[in-house]
Amino acid sequence: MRVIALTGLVVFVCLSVILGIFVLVRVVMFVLPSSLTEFRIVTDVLRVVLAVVLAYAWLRLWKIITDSYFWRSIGAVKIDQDEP
Amino acid sequence: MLDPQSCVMAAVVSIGAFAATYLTIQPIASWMRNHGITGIDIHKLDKPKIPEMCGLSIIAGLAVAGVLSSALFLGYSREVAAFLGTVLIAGAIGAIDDLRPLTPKLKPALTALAAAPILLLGTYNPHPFFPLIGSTRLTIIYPILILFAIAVPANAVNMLDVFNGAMSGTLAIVSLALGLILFLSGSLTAASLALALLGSLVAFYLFNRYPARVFIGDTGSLAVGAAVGALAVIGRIEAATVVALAPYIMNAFYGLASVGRLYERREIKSRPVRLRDDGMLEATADRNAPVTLTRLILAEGPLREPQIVHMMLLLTAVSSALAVLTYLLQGGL
Repeated sequence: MRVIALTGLVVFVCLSVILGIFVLVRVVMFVLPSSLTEFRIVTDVLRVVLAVVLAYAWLRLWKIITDSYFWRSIGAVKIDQDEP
Repeated sequence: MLDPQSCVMAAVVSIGAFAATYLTIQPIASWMRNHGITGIDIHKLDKPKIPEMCGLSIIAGLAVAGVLSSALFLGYSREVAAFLGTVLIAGAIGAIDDLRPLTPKLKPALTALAAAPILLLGTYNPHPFFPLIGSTRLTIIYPILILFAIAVPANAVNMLDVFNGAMSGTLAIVSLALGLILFLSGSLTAASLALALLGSLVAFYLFNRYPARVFIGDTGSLAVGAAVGALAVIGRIEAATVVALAPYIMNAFYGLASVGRLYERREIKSRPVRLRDDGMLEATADRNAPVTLTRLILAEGPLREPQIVHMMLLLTAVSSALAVLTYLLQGGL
């Protein structure tokens, strides 16, 4: 179970890196209207803000999954040890 | 793509790096021990003193590989010069940290300076390849990202250097994967440097594996981490390198997210892992301790140190295989 869980976490990290880069580069960097030169500064600032928000959301999700796995697993180990 | 001369060059620099590291490691270890530069192996019951800063032998191995590749095959190569410059600067910062510990904020900031040779020699292409996307233009921001490309892996590698053979073993697997990707991509100089790194790390692993006879020190861990970052930039395999380093990124991120700031291991009062009287290691249930990769591995019960290292090697093998897949996804073949 330990090997499966940790391998799953590594695969999740790797896939989320690939998907995260895709979202950041494809959606945030290119979809916003950079062609509108009069709004260039606004769109550039918006891109950076959106990229930071996306990255932060991804990191939060990652931490929630890890914390959930860790505290659930360590709780189960402690309960096993406490049982006579 | 894999012409005979490239194969000979890769073999020569890899064997040269292995031999130079293997031959210099014992004299360096003796010198460190005689001068009292030792660290305590805290995960052993008898707490032995082990010579520190022996990562100098890896730097020596990479220097020999660089000289061999230039003298025998390439002539003057900007890529080799940038790679060695980055490794030497990161190693020098690590040596300072080993002898006079730097603050948690100053160390990553100084490590970013190791990117200077790459920036000054212009051995980068601001059009990195990304999986599912292809080539992307990042003309203005890319030079700034190079600072992070060197500082982040250097410090992430430094953070995972906690068990005998963990860092040298896992990074040897990463180097092998990066070497394969670079060969497939036709970046033969960078591929040779990756295999030189592999040769040095394998030689070092023979002395650093459980029970360790030498410690790499920040001198070696920062240099090796910076070397991986330099390979990513010079060889244009940024995304694949990030994937290969997933266990390192996990460990660094978990630690930073738990503590909430940059930190040094020595300043953490609540230990994430405890050595039991029977020699096994177990995760503590202390909520103030950082949730590191080691603590995650130990979450489902105690293990012996070599078993933890084997788990790290397995996770790195998975991430390295995914890195090769990532390269293929970005249209590598």
